Amino acid sequence: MTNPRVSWPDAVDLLGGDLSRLPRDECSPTARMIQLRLWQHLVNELLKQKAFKVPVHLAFGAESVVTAVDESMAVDDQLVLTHRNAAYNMARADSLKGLLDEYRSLPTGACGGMLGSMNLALPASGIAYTSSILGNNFSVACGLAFAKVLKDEAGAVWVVTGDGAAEEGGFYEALVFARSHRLRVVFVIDNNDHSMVSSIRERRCEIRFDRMCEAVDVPYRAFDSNDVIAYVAGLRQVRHELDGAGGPWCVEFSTALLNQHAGPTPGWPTDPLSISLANGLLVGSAPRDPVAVLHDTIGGESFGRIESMLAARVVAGVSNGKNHG
Amino acid sequence: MGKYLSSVNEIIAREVNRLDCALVYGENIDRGSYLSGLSKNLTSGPRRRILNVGNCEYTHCGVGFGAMLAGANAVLFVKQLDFMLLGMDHFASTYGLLRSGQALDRLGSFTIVVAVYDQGYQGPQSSFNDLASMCSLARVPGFTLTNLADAAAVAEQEFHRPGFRIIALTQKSAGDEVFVPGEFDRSADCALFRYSTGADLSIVCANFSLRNGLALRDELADRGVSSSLFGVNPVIDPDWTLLAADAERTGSVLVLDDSKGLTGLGHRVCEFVSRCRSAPRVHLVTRPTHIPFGVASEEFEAPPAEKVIALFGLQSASS
Repeated sequence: MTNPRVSWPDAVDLLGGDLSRLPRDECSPTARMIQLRLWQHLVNELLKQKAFKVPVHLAFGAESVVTAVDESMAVDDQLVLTHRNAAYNMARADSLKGLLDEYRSLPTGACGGMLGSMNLALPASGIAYTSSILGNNFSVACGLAFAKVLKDEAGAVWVVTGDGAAEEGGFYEALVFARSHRLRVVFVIDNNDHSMVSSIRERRCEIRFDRMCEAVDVPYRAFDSNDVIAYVAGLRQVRHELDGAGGPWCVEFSTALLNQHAGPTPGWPTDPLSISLANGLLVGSAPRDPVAVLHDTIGGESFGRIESMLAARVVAGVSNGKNHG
Repeated sequence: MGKYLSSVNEIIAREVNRLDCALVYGENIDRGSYLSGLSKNLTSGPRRRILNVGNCEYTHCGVGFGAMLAGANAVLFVKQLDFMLLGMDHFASTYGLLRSGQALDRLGSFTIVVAVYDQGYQGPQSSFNDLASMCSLARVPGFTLTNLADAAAVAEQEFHRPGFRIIALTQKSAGDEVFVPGEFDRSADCALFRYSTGADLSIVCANFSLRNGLALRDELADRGVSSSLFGVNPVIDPDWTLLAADAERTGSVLVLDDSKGLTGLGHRVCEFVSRCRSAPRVHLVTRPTHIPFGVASEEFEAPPAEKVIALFGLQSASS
């Protein structure tokens, strides 16, 4: 793991800083991805302090996928998520504050404190629906896509699933339905080899999603480099082809789940997983940690500049000179 | 007068064909028997698609909610209520979420039109008939269409309202002459229909027991007992004030419920009546707790008129 370049203060101290999202039109996807990692760290530190009653499912290790989906969505596209939606909501948010208040069940939350975490869909973010029921969201995505056909509206619907929820029969049904009616749906499989704490090998036989898609004549593409730059380029190509030949599409990402299923990491005193902002933004090595992959891709100096810029924004009342290593 | 199923189909098709930006779909809805006539007379339009779809009921239910979320109108025709058990997740969870996140009037509409296979010939499976319990689990409104009056009122109102509901027809009455009420009253939410007003007894019919109630009312009338006759629907927060006033006046309420659930709509009606100020006498007639699990008669029996007269201590012409 690369040594951190910034000595991050306690997360609570950071909450008084600038929690706005880096503007999409002013910053690169890489910078936004690093900010996404920082925000996940902040929430993880707050989870350790039991700041929220609702369970929050973070996605350390999936930032490259989240960023690529976020960056590839067209203006009229919609996003349909699962319970592990925190990173996507962060990616689409204007500010982290609305999410934190929502997790605190406060009226000032992004959804008035009514949706909590597992059903959170930020208003005006393009996130149309978020389900905490495994396999529930595929068909809703198909309905959203069919409404676009009825209304002759532009745009596609991206529906995200893990390898666990994709075991549900609803995945296959929706794949067939979407293909039968050529709906502009992108099925995004975030395959982190985990359904809660069970690996694929521990719970089932292998599912070859490429063959499943081939069987129903749905274009499929696998991504496994964890390189956000390549992921953005690949998904933008998929999105482009969707506009041309129509839908649906299926993409599968091999990712690593670097945090606990829900709640803080570490989750208990002897938890083998350990994440701490004090150790820096990276939580693993390449290729498992996409932020480490990015660090190696763009180089430590460029990475450090972005990290320092983020620190300058978020560290309140602490001198930059003190904190930037 | 016409047959029940064809008459109700005409009413439903008329309203569905008025919908704009609509997905009208179901398995075999535009060919073959048209779901035994349930889905006849549907027409497509510039923004209304009639779609024959594959066999995946769970997904069909989710598609309807997705379309509704996008502001479109969805109407799903389903051959049997049993199949909709596969959609319970969407009724309870998906709609629960959609309702919590925004005002209903920002949504489109999603209506499921389904036949209840209650003739008793389908075998141990394919005999689920308890619409109210299904609706209760998910806290969604449901409507049983039993005659021309409730069919017209429900169809004219519900297909065009934002939100979700289930509308059910009975297969056992498919070939019967449709009941055409004369004057009737109803609540604005279609939770209650009153087909006659009597002095001695209030008869309340849940699920598809109206035909039993009609026969009993006439039998009682032959014996000099006049009855009010109601049909009720499993609507959320139903407006049953007409029933409350009637129960206060007659002091005697007989509730018929031909569903197979153990705590169905009939029980809700009894609980409602028991809270009336004058505590009317109320008696519930349901199916026996033990139902033979095999091919069996689906006939639901209302008690004979003489027994009802004795039960409530009514004064018949012969007494």
